[in-house]
Amino acid sequence: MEISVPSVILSPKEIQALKPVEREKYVRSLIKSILSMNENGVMASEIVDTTNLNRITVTKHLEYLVAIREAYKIDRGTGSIYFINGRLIHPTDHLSVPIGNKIYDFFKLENTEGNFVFIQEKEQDELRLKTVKGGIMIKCEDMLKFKDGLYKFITLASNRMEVKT
Amino acid sequence: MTKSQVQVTHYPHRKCKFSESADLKINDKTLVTPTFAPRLKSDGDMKRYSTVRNVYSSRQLSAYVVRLLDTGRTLYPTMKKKAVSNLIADQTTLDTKFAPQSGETVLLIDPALEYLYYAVNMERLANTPFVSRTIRKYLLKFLEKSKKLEDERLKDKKKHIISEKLFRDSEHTNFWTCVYKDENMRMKLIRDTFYIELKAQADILVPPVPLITSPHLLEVTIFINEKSRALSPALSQDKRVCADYFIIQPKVLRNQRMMSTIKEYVSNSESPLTLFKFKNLNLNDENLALERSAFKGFLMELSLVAHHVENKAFGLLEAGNQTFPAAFSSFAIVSTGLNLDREDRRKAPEDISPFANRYDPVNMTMQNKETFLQTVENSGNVIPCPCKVCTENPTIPNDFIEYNRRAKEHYLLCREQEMIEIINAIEKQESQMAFEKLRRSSLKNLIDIIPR
Repeated sequence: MEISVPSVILSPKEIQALKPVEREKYVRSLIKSILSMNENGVMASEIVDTTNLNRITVTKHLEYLVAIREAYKIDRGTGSIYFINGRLIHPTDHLSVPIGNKIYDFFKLENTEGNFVFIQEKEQDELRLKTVKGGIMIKCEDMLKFKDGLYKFITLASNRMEVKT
Repeated sequence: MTKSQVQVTHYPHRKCKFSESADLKINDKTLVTPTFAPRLKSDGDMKRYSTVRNVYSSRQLSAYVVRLLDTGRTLYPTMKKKAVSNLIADQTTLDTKFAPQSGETVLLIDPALEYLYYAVNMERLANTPFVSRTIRKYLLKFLEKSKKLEDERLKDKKKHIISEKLFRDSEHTNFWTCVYKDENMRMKLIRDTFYIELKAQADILVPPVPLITSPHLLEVTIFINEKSRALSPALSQDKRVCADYFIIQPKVLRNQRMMSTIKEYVSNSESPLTLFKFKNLNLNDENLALERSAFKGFLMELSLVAHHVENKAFGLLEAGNQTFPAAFSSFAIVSTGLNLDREDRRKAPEDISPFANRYDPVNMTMQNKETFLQTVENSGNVIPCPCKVCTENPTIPNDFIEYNRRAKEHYLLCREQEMIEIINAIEKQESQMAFEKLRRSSLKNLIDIIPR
C-alpha cells in the first residue's frame, strides 16, 4: 500500500541547491509531515521509495525524531515502523511556558500506547524561529508520581541549585 | 501537535449572499474580515498608521503591508527605536524581541517583483539590500543593456533596433524562465526572499513571483508558489504559513483560459491564504466592460471557494478603486497604498504639489487640495466628513506637513468605516448596501462587478 505524502516535494536537485542546514531542516520537516499524514505508521523504506531520499538520511532523521520524542517506533521483524507521537486530545490541551530564550510546551497526547503528557523543549533563534531541542513523554496515569519525584529532587538538591520561587 | 497558523472561522449569521465576515486567525492574531491593510512605504506612514491604531483603536485596520524594497525605511527605524528603549529599560544587550508590529497587527511583506517589469522603482530595486542578490544582478544587467540600447537608438534613428517594450518583455520572460529551469537560482531566490521576510517578522510568507503577462509566466507563478510552500517549513520552524501569490496584468482578465487556470489552482491549493494583485487596474474605466464582467465572475468564484472550502481566505493588494466591492464580495484583506499621490506620479517633479490628495468618502475617490477646498466652501465651510480626524480638527491647515498627516489619518479612518459598514450590512442581511453606496459615488461602473 502506498503511503500519503505532501502534494509538492522538492526534487533531489532542489534539495541539493539548499544550504546544508536548510537541507537538514527540510528533510526533517518533510519526514515529520509524512509521519503525520500516515497515522498507521511508515517504514523507512516506504519513505525512501516515495521521496527518492537517501536511505541513510531518512533513517537518521527518523531516529532523531524518535530521540526528541516527536515520533516513536515499534520493531517488527527485521524493520521498524515509525509513528508520529500522538495527536492532541483536545485543542486546549496545550500550554506554552517561556523561560529565558527557551520555551517549554506541554501537550496532552493520545497514541496507540495510551494518553501521555508530552513536554517539549524549544529554543528561539535570532529570527524568532523555534527549534525543537528535546522532549519527554510521561503517561498521564504516572503524572502525579512524576510530579512527586520532581518535587523530591528539588527539595533534595535545592541547597545546591538556584531555584527561583 | 502543530496546528495550522491560519484559521478561518465562519459564522452562519455573518453571511449574506456572496458576502461574509469571518474571523481570520493568523499566528494567534484574530482579524475580523474584511480588514483594510494599508501599504506603508516609509517611517512616516508607519507613524500615521500606529497613531490611528492607538488613538482610535481601529479594529478593521489590523493588518498592514510593506513592500520588500521598503522594509529598510519603513520597519527598521521602528525596530531600532524599540531596540534602544529595550536597552534603556532593562540594561540588557540587544535581543530579538523588538518587533515593529505588536499585539493584534498582522504584517505582510510584499516581494513586489512586478518592478522587474515596470520601470518605476527598478533602480531602487537594483540597489536595495532588501531583495535577493539574484534580482539585483539581473536588474543591473538589464539597466546596463537598456542604456546601451537607448544610446544606439539615439545614435542611429534609422537602424532597426528592438523596441523598448519588446526588449523588456523578452528579458523579463527570459529571467523567469531561468528561475523556472534552474534549481539553484530558484531555491536561492525563494530562500533569500523568505529570510528577509522572516527577519522583518512577517506573519505570512509571500513567495517571489513574476508579473503574469503570459500563460508561460502563469505556469512559472504556480510553480514558484508550490515550491515556496514546500520549502517554507524548512526555513520557518514555527510553521509560518506560506501564501499563494498572483500578480496579474489587467489584460489577463480577458483571457478566459488563464483565469480558469488561476481559479482551478486556487480552489485546489493547500495554502489557506491567496493574495492577488491586479497591477494598475481601474475597473471604473468606461472602456473596461469585458474586464468588469470577468472580474465579477472571478469574485463570485472566490466567494464560493471562501464559503465552501475549509480554511481559505483571500487578499487583494493594491486594490485601488476596487477596494470596497472586493471587500464586500469575498476578500478578507484589502489593501491600497497610503501615499495618496497616485496622480502626481506621472507629473514632472516641479509640478508635483506638496499637498497630498484627500479621500472623499462620498465619491470614494481622491481629490486634490483645490477640489477639497471647493467642497468645504460649498458645505458652508465645514469639512463634510464624519470621521474623528475631521471632527476633532475642523480647520484646514496651511502647512502641507500637517495637511498630509491629517489626510492620511482621515484616509485610514474612512477605509475602516467602509469595512465596518460592510460588516454591519452583512449582519443585517442588507445585500443592497454596496449597490446603493456605489450608486451615490463616482465609482458607479463598479456596481457591475458586485456578484449577485
